[in-house]
Amino acid sequence: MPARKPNRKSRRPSTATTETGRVDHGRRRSRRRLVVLLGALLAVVVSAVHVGASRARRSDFEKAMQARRLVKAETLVDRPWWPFGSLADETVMRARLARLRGEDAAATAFLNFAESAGDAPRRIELERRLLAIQSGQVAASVDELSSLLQSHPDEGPIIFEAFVNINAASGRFDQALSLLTIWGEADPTSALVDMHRGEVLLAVDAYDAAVTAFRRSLARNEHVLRSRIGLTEALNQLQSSGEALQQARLVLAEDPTNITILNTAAGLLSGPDDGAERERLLRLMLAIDPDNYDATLSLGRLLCDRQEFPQAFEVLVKLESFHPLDASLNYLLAQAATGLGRQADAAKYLEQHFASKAEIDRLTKIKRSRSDDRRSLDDERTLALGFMKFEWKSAGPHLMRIQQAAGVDPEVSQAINKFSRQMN
Amino acid sequence: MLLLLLLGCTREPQEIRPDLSGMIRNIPSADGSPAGAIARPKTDTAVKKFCGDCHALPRATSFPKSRWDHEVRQGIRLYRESRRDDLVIPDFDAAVAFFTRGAPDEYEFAGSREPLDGRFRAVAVPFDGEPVHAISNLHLDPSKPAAGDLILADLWSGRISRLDRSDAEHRLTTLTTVSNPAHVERIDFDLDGIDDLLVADLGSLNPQDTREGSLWWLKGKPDGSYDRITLRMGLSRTSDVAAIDFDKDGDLDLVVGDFGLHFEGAVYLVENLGFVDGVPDLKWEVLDDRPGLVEVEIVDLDGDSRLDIVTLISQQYETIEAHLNQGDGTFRRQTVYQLGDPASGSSGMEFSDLDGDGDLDVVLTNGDTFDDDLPKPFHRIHVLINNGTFPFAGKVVAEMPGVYCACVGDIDSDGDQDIAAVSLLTVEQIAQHDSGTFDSVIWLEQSSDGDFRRHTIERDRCDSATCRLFDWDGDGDLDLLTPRYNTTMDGITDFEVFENTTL
Repeated sequence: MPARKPNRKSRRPSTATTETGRVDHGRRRSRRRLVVLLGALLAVVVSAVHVGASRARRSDFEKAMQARRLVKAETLVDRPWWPFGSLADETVMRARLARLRGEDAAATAFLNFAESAGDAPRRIELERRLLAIQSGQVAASVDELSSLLQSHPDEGPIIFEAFVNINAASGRFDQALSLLTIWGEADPTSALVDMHRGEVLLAVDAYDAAVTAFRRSLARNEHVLRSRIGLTEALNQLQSSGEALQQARLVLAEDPTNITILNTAAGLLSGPDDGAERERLLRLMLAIDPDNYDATLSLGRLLCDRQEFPQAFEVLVKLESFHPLDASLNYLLAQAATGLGRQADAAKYLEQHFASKAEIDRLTKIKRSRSDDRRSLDDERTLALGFMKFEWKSAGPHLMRIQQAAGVDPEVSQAINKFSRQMN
Repeated sequence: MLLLLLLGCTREPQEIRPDLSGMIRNIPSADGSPAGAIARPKTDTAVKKFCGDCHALPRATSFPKSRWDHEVRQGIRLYRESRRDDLVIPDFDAAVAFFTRGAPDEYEFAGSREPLDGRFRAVAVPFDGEPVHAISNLHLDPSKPAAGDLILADLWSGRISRLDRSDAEHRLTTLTTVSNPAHVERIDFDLDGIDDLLVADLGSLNPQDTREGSLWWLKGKPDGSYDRITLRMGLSRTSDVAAIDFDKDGDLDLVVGDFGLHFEGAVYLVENLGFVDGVPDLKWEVLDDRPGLVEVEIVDLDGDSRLDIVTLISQQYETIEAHLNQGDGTFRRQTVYQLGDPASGSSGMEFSDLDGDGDLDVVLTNGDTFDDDLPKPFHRIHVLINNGTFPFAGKVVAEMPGVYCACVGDIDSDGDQDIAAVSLLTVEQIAQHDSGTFDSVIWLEQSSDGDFRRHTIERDRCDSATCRLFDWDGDGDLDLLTPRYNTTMDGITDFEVFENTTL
């Protein structure tokens, strides 16, 4: 084993979003483990190069390294039931997280590495079996579940979680809920069971029931951040704005840069006294994601509302090159320019706003002339590309229909990418 | 990835999958009760208390049985969106059951089967110029019925146009373009001797929260053209504007209605502090913080020779409010009339001395269907008689599904005030009912005892949002102008006039 040299790169606080939705700025313990793991991986590859290891092994390492980027080491702290032990244990953990993320290849790579590293054969075997079920090589049958529970009696939560995820991911929500009932009976105080139950209920739009499940999870363990995130989402779907905002604030207190919840909270802050908090959240979102078009537009609108026109103009003008014909952007630029007394600029932006509105009217008329299911692909293309120019948020459904009809050409593909970036 | 992003957009809560609903109900909650059925009060009292707090308790007859599920769901959603938490939400099923008990299976429309009235002759007047689509407002100045006094606002195209009648051929000239003009007010705002136009611009056809409502001043120039000057941008949905010198300083102040959405919007009193470089310095104050303003009128309602502000507010309020001018720059609010049911759909008001006693009475219409897409049998024309006390004494003078605008004048030239009215429904709404169900244009003949007799002028088209009585052909009687609001948004190149054949 080589000396454990601090790795400068690994010292930099990570702002990655974890499995639980938490953004972690790098905990010392996790960092140390990461360094250990990196060191071990490095040792292996150096060794492999020196002894002329097989291409397959090198490939395993590359996959593992790729997976490492996907599966953040910091997530380990959110899995209290996993006893940290050896390097192999930890690598199996990474394999498991990769599996939970649907990164089957990465999970396999980690397991291959863990196998070579040492001493957790039972866990490796369990992971391999769960991976086989997840990838469809083995059916997620009751028999298989029973067999796994018998052979690994101490790993019930991991096994149940895998089966719940597999069923939910394939739309078998009824089976996922049944499994959660059994799991709940076996572990009646588990906050995790209710977290998963809430997420399944959220997936089937049973928002009231999801709220109940998330609340129960939090009553059992108030630190399960994923339950609070789920609760926020369910309350938001129920348009229970006050409570959703309250929960969003609690999430952000623990995880201040969670972009999803920042977005939710900023959207909920629409009252007359909410301006300062909304501005703070929007600026935070933009610090994380400077290209977020929607957040920039919202910030510009907010500043215009407050008649802070110089700041508004400064914020909004950055969007001009990205969406020069967007009707809302041009309206806000005109508003800011008017506030600044720049009448010529205001007139220019207003003319573009009205021209863009006329184009939106034309597109809306095409849209209304036929129902969604009777519109031709050409019409959908016209609508998608047209709306992308003048009112980009309205382009979504049309891009989706083109995508579903496999009618994606380079221009549409570019629009889809642009749309996705903006939504992000 | 894209699919997920798109599906992740805000949506209405959906029904739980039927095959899962039983399973979800059986999941125990923290207190042992079923999770899908959070314990909520089921009594009529609880339902009445919750559903009658933000607004008057809706009448069960306001919607057909099948509609109440949606309405209750919407009510609960809006309560939650309001961020209030002081009320107890009742059991959903119990609330739906409470309303459906007294609800009709379907609306029943009486319809009028009488022959069409022969007093009016429909004339389609073609014009040259850009087609119009959805005329939201028609402005004319009765004191100057010459060419150029007819101003049209097209809610769809945003064009403000002048219908020039000086030649044998009519010509429509675009004066300027805005987004979605709801109302145009003709007034000499800067007192330079040339009439100007004030435009209340919704900013969007459909309700949305982008705050693109504007207020424009089209400053008249000697050559008949206009300069567009921004008075305010960034309102939620500017629906009306009127001018009044409320502080008696010699210039014109404004009253601006911002329809808003559910939780934003207001009526503003805007003080004109004077013009700087030709642009007015305006000080905005909230006169009424409720959203939903449909119309504002400046009239002397209480006969004290001071101009009052009268507002028609829809949404869940459905009320006419008078802001009575106290003469010292302040106003005292009085309710003129309240329809009571939040589903009424107030659509317009008109002032006239209907009973000939020297004061102003009101004609109120409630027939808006933009909220719920439903023509209703209780869409009506009301006459509100001013007896010197508030509220005014109201009586229903006609039922007219979709009624959107009424105007008053002596149609039959017998010396009293009659009423004409138009309705606005979509093609789809009309098609769902038998031919002849809906009157498009009617007039109500006032008799000597103050009652009104209905005459149907046209049926089934129902495509006008505004109307005016005006001697179009110069023969001495009042013709009825009913410019079209085409819900299919196709362009129209003629102008609808019903010529009165009384004289």
